Amino acid sequence: MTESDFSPVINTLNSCVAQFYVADEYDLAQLGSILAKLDELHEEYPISETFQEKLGEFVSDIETAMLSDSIRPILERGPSMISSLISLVPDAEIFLEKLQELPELNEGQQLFATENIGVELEKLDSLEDLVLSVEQNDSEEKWRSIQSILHSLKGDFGVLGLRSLVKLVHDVEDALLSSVPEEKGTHVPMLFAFRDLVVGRVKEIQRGVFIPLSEEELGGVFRRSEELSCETKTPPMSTTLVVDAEVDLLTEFITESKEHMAAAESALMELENAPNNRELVDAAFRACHTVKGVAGFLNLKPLQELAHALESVMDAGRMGKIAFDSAILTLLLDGFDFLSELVLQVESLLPSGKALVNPELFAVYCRLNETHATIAKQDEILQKTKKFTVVESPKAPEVSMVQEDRIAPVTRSDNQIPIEKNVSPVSDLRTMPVPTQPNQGENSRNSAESVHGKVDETVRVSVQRLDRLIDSIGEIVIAQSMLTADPDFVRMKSRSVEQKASQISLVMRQIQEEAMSLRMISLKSTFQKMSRLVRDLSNKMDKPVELIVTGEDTELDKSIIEHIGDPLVHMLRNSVDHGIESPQERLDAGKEPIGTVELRAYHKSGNVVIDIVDDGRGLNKQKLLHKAISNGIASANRDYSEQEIYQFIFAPGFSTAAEVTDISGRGVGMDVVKRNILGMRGSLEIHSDEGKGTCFSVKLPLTMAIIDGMIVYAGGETLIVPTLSIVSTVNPKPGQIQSVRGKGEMLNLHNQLYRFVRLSDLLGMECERKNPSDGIAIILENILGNRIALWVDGILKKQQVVIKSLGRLFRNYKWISGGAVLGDGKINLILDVNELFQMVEK
Amino acid sequence: MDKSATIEIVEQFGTRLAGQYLTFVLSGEEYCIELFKVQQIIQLESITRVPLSPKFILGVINLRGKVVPVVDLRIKFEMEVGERTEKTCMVVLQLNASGSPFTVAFIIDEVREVTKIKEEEIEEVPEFGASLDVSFLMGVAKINHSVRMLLDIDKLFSLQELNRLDSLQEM
Repeated sequence: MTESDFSPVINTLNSCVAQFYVADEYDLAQLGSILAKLDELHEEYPISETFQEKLGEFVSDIETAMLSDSIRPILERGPSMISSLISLVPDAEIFLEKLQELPELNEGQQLFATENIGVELEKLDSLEDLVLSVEQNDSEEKWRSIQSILHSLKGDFGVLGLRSLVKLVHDVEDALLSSVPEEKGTHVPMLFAFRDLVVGRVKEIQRGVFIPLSEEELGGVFRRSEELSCETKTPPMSTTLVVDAEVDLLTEFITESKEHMAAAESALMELENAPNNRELVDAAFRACHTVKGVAGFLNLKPLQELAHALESVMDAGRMGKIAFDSAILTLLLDGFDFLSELVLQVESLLPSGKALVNPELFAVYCRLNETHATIAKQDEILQKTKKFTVVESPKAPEVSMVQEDRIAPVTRSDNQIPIEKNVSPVSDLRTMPVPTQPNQGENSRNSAESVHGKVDETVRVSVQRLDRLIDSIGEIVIAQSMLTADPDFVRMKSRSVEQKASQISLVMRQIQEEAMSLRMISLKSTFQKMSRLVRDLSNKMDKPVELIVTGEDTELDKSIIEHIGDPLVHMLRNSVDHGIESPQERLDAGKEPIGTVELRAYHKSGNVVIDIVDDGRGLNKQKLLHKAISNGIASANRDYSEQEIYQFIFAPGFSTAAEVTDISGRGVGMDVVKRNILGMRGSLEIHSDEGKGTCFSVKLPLTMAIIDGMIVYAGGETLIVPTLSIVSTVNPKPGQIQSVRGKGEMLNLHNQLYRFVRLSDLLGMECERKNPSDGIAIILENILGNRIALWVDGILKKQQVVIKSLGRLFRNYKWISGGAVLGDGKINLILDVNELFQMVEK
Repeated sequence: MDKSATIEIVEQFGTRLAGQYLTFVLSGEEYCIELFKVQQIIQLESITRVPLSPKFILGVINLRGKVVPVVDLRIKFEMEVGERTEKTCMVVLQLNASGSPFTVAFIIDEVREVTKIKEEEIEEVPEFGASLDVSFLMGVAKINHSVRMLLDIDKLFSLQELNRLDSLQEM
């Protein structure tokens, strides 16, 4: 007989194995179906006498079991029984090998995979969360949740027909079930290894490939802690970053990693103030762990290794073996910086490529590993001396084991740094007896969160799709207003139709607002970066500074958030660098030695205001003015208002001169600040009290997509002037217009002279010349505080409009900031006031 | 060069350009543009003037929420400005000028038909003499003794051409 004749037998038996794994104690139906299959085999395939005999025995065993109180014994015995049956089938091995070697998923599996992978990954994530929390605070309930997740994973893999995965889950379950509650904690490393392995496989399935688990991999999960901690040498860090994976996966990884890294960083920052908060450590650890896992899967070696090193040190912290003091935190933050750098490098290499990694990175990597090695060594000693007390003591010994000199300076000769220290893989630390936390209250809250899982579920949507939705909503709003303005519609004069129409328009506005809010994100991550910046600056300059952040939940449009970072960095750097005095100076001035910088965001009349307030030395108006005069920006024979003097800071080049530091040094990169804020249609104000401090106040629109506009008409066209720049409007009287030689017409308003500019002339529109008194003069102010009177034929109304780009054909038309579709469906151009000023000057 | 080789070159040229075309009329002459670039044909509607722009850019329209520039091909080709009739309409094209998609609308006198132009009907652009700028033509098609000009619409809105517009505007 050839092997192929028995392939149905093997297939059937295999499916029985899967069913055994999937079935639970009460699943008699499953067992029934197995029984039926085996019965059929018994009758149709008399392979050999032994086979027949064994099969018969097994069938009767199952029958007996079904009638008994518990089917658990038979479920456990089932798989091994079946394998012994399979081994009796001639040529079974060859067949099984063939079966295993199929890396491509069949159609059904792929269909299932594409539909369910997200769910599987979620399950695996919540598994990880649970394992992390169980490590802190063991509870029967959590173990039950873990088991139920495992069970449902097993079921899913069973349906997929991925036998090696089913077997793995089954074995893990067995290991958990067979240990007494007190010992379950020792399975944590196994569960982590399990989770990592399975996540890797599940992601492969997502791509349509499945490589069955090898014996080695299976064994790796169950290797005992003793084996794991056997001394493995850390290989020197990879020097080349090779990007060669699917672009989709890579981009997803990049976005996710950035988020994770931001989360980790902020957690570490907070940790500085609350070194005993385990929740924060866990957050950073989780983020790092995820990055490591995915980096490993995508074969991004340097990232994986660095994340691993970070993880090891953090893990030591989680175990209470190391205190998160400032030195450790700086080390960790440095590590995360490099990790971010690597992620950016990956991004720059897309879709594929190779690059050397920044050699400085190795120093950090070495320091991390050394730190960890020191901990590990000391821990060993600790373990020897305190072996029993640690396990049984209800309280974890609070030890900060590490001496100040633990971070030995590393001399680096070349890229290949041989690391002699023995650093054991991260998992060994997890196998340490889990200390029971003294802080029960906090942990129970934490665990409650983990068990109940996600509070606010989110869906990731590409900005492009979101923008398309917002566009379509904008269109429907316009279409609707066109409908209600249609003469035929108006002629209907039906009260009920009108009511319905206004109902629709109400809902429509709500939808539009809601859609716009989808693009809004909070300032949180931006402010987090700022806390980091201030911390680093204060360390670097040896100037203790406390940053108080408020209103980080304030939301702004994504595009604004993206552009606000740079200006904030410059302003904060200024405040810390030049605003805050040295501790001695502060003491002399009768202030607290620790400087305070406040970063706050809040809503104010439809705008968002971000204030940067320091309690430093403030601005010296006289010096600023002198400087401005000597730079030729200001004229010596003119009086300047306070605001005008402060605005000199923003003049380009004003800051670059070396003497600037003498004038309390304001102005590093301040012209950039101004330009960026201007670009966002925002404004900037400075308030300062000499000796007491300075406040930079940035006012930003909620979104760049909508502006408040005044709809005006001039030269036969309708145009929109941003309300933000309008100071006032006036109907000029004949006597108020004066012609000044060389300067053209001027408008005299309350004894103030404004340049009188006709919009139709400025834009080269051909139209008949009217009397100034037949139109309206709009007093405009640009960002520098200059004013002109812009004369138009008339004003229609004030309205909020959605800005649309005119496209690249008009990209050099700087005086148009965009177009807006008004109720009649026609496009109206929006003027850029600052560019208009430039045109006027020409 | 012997005769057969010449024929071969001509045939290859025709093969590359053969396909579906939209034929339209401009100042009495027939022009063709590749059909797959045509997004839609719309009625003339009110156009927002963009001050200080070159003359042949008539302005912008709102096409389902998108701002689309409108070009008067007659002015672009330096033909005399014609009367707007019932048949005057706009052809909206989706171009891929210099790598990124770009939508533009042309005002034309009249849409004639959608034709499949065979390779043997296509010939290279003859020398018209200095009076006509032939750089925007890909070739000519001779169908039933009438000559249709195949417009190279991408070139009309190539980066160089757009830059030329920019410099025009600055003048």
